[in-house]
Amino acid sequence: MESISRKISEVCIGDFLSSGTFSLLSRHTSVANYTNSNSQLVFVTKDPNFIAPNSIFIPYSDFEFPQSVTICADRIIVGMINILRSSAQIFHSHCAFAAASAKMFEKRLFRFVESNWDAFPQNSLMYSVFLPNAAIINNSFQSVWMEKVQSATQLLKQGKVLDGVKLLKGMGVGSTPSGDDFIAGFLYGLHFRQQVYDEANTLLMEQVLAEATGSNLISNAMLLNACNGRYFLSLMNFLEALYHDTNLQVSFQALLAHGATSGVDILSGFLFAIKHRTH
Amino acid sequence: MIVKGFVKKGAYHDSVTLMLVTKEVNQSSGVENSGVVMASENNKELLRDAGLFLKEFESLTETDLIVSVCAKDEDDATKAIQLAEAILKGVKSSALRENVGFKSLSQAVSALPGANLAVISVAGRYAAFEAFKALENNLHVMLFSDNVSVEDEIRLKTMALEKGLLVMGPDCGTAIINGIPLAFANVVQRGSIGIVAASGTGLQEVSSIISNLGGGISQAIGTGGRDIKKEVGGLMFLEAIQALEQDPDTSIIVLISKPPSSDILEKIAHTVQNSTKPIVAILIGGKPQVIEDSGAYAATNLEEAAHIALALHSGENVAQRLSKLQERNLALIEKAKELALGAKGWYIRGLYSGGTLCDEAQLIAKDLLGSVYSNTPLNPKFLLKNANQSFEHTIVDLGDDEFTKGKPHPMIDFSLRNQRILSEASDKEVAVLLFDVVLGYGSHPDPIGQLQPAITEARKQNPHLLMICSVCGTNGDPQNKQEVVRRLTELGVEVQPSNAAASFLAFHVVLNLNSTLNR
Repeated sequence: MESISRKISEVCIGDFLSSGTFSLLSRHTSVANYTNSNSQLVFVTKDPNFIAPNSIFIPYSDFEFPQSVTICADRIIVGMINILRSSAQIFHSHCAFAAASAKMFEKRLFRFVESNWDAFPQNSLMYSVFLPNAAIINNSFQSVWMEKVQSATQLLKQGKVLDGVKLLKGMGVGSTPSGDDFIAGFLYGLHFRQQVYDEANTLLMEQVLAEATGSNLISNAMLLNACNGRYFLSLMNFLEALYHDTNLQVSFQALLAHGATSGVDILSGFLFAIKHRTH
Repeated sequence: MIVKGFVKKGAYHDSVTLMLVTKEVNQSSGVENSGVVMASENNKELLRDAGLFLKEFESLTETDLIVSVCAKDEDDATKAIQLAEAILKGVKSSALRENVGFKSLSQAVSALPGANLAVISVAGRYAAFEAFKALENNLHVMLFSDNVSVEDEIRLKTMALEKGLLVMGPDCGTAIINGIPLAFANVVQRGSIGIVAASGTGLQEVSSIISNLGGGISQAIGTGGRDIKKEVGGLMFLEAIQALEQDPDTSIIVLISKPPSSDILEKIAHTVQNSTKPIVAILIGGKPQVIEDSGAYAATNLEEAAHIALALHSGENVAQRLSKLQERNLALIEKAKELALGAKGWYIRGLYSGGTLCDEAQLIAKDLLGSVYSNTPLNPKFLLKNANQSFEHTIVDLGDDEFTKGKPHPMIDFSLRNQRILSEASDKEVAVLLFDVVLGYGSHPDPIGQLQPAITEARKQNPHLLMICSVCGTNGDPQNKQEVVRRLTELGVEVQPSNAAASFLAFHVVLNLNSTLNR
């Protein structure tokens, strides 16, 4: 872990951007998603917290998302903005976790979750998976959702990983449904374990990716990044903050800002993979 | 019970929007159960098990959106579905439905024929164009947008003067017109004190103090900071003084700005001389002699300006009122000695969201500690080499352009200030953190909720760190000043009634520490 809390204020491009012309898929307040003919996905964001390996960060709040983005070897064209790759800041998405501090890191992660229950959204998977009695259940839809989550995580605990993933895939709300977020976090966790404990997880991660990949291009891109250990900025900053035991609340708030529950759902998956090393 | 569905094909909506839809639909009358999900196989199964599945969902794929509602009767289900559709189309939800949106200024003008003021907050490059349109429609203009060229500003203000209208701005963040707070402004009592300000937080601080001490504001007119520069010539500052001079509801006028250029200062002095109403002026960092010679009361800080205006309003002797402030300051000096006993380190770090408050703190520091480092220093020699890195005694304006390009202002987004609080706390040479909390419309609805994690973490990192702040606002503000002060006090923050008092106390603590350490 060579640095703490990367701060980005200029135009910044991710380190894993496919080339080609990408058309607008969806537009949200601070993010717009684009796809090319190979169903690859890049996104443009105005919020530095959302910076990811397949993203382009434009630091202008009044910037309007264009209809297309063109990515070439030497430049990227986003509407009227022409970004020379040689002059843009690059977001490096890989984290090098030091094995020596891994145990301490895990303890801090568990302790952090235990002491911050109030901060997690009660409709997030953090509650459904780890504190189901306190999760919000107001109607039968939510109660069925809870049962499914419990069944899926039970399978994961039993080592029936692909069966659990099959149940979680695409489940829940959002353009990346909560189930997909959890699986992405789980993949980050498997990658972390491989890195610090030399576990041979590559095959399992590829199987999980294959099982979880569907026709939701936004989820697919997120899962692919997770499988390859390519982090997005706010998760990276939070994990680094845990490693160094500093700036925790600030980086946690940035992670919380991901969607309604996305950031926390990803963290839940990561935590689950760290907690349950039975397979 | 009836189940009704609505499908949107190929629609990616973010989870925040979908959660909002879920919440609003669930609260809709007669709704028992609902699901708002992408049509993945697992979600379809969820809907099936929850009794929310319809045949028409069968052929959908995970890029399609399903809204399914179980309600008491057909009518309730239809209403809930319509509500969901409206939110997804971007129409305001029920709570906001009374605020109708218009696509153009002329549409808005024709819908509200009696309107006489337009607030313009669009990207800078379009702002002047919209402002011209507003003036053509005989509307006063509050131009919140910045990045308007000085040439456009002059043309706009000249045109406004010809038409007898006001152009407040560009980059005018606050005003109170006929009791209505505009943009970043506080809920103050109405009264007879009028304000003209080329300084946003200066206006907020003075109007709030006046209101908190029982006075009231007739009008508070912002002009934008550039108005008093030589190029623009104080066009609106002078016009606004005239407007208040003629306003029958205004009996006292307060002028707030950074030091204007000398020829504009002369023009202001001339206007003051001809005014029939008492005028109080606070030119932050400027030499008040010219203003005093013109017959105005020259204040040395924002709090003092508010107290002078209040004294004039109530017929109290101004000198007596100011001597009470002096007594309060003597008490603060004693308090500083006590606080210094428990402090460690020797430097002060000021983290401001209000630019004028930052300037005011630097001015007070100058008298007590000498010049301090800043990204907006009073003395250019004390410009921080790196605004993100404090050096010795430092006071930064986190609302300055270099911090806010492409980001929300620190009054709305506390992430930058929180990061800075933590980094300052980790520096063991830092003894005192000084900061402001600005309330009112436009500011974050829960500033303490935002600050609390950073303050708590900072306290853990550095238990001896003294945190001193002021809260600019009133109990009528959406955040409620009294409540904010209570929560800050609970967090162990020393809260003072004004930025001047907080700065005075903080710098005296540092003076004590430095004399103890013999540095």
